[in-house]
Amino acid sequence: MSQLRLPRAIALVVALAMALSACARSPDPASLTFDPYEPQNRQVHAFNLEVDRRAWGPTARAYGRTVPEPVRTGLSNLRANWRLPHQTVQYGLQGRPALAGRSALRFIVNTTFGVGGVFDPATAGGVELRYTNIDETLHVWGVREGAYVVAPFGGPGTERDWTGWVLDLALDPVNLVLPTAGLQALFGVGTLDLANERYILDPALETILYESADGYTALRISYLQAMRARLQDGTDLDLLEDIYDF
Amino acid sequence: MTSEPPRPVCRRSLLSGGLAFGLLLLLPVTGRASPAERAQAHVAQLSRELLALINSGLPEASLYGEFERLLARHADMPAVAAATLGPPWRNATAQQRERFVAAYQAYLARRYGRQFRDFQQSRLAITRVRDAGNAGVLVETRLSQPGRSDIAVDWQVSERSGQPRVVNLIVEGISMLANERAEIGTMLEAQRGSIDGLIQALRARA
Repeated sequence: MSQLRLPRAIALVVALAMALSACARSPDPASLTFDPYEPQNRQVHAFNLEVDRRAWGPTARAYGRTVPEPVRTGLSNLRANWRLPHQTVQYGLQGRPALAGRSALRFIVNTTFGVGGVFDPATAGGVELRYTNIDETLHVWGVREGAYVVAPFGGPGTERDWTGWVLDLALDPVNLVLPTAGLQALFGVGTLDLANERYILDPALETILYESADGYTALRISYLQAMRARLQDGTDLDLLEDIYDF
Repeated sequence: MTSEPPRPVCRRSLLSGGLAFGLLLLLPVTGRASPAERAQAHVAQLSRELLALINSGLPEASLYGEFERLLARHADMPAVAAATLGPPWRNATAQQRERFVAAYQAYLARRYGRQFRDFQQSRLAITRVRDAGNAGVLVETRLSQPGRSDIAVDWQVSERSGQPRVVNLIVEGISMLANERAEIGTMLEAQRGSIDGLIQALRARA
């Protein structure tokens, strides 16, 4: 079964790479306003907001308030742990052997001493998590982020980011190796992890989405800045403005 | 268990160490601190005050007022307000500017102060200080809370007002100035470009 999946995944990579080369190009890579799909994006955003207001937000808050913090953190640790094999491969493709080694070490330590990854002894031992995905690999390879795209049920992203998301699913070695029951369990844990994330971010999201004059723009600006800062491990000094000069 | 034998003190390193110490004493006492060091000291002081306020258990009503005073003390609010409003600031009268700064400050205190209850028991540690030339100094801190991932909070500090003052806050790469510029721009548009209308709208949200 899993041998059959690989050629299909490669075909997908080729198709998406071709789609990416047709990405919309922003005149300024630091732009926070470049948004050629804004009319469609706004419609999807309005839909997502309804989903969040009626179902996802209340569910996540209920989860956060009823399930104790150590349990939620344990489940999120577990999900993060099983992303590490894929991240090890990605760091390799990015030409960053030290980070690949760190991810592999984390996976080994947390899978064994951390009971499958529920606990995180690696961080306690100084091997901290640095998240990566195919979006970052494409970024390292010089692929531009493309236009801002809001996906139904998925929220903010860019053309490159959403392409990477599909590829992450298709190429994750864990998805290719783990038996179906394991994958289903992982999917369940992943959903709880997303709920925990939504719960932790609740105050910030409430401010951005529901207490802004224009929540759509606020989310786009916040997403783009956070994504770019994450890709370069911090705030870009060149982007700091001299606020006395305008 | 074996312990390493004590290493003989190297005479040359002792000598050069003494030399360096002597040179340090020659430096003038005033002006020894660089802008980066002053910015760091400023952020250390204001983050102590901020965390004390967050953990004070004050009721929300007085919390916002206290936070507003903290902002006014540690940030260059007239400059931040001007940079947020952008070109319309130039056409505003002195009186409009003054009222806008006051309304904007109160609005900010409420908008961000509302999130304070979620940051109780957090700790803030300065991790790096970088000089950004004309833009000032970026003091990077990590906000840590039990059971959550750390949050990167960067303080842009400038001495253009004569003293080190915060001019922007960047949380996980998200610039408060960039976000508020969009927000205030939308509000100004809704008021058809009227600054007085904008001030009214800000007061309604403060």
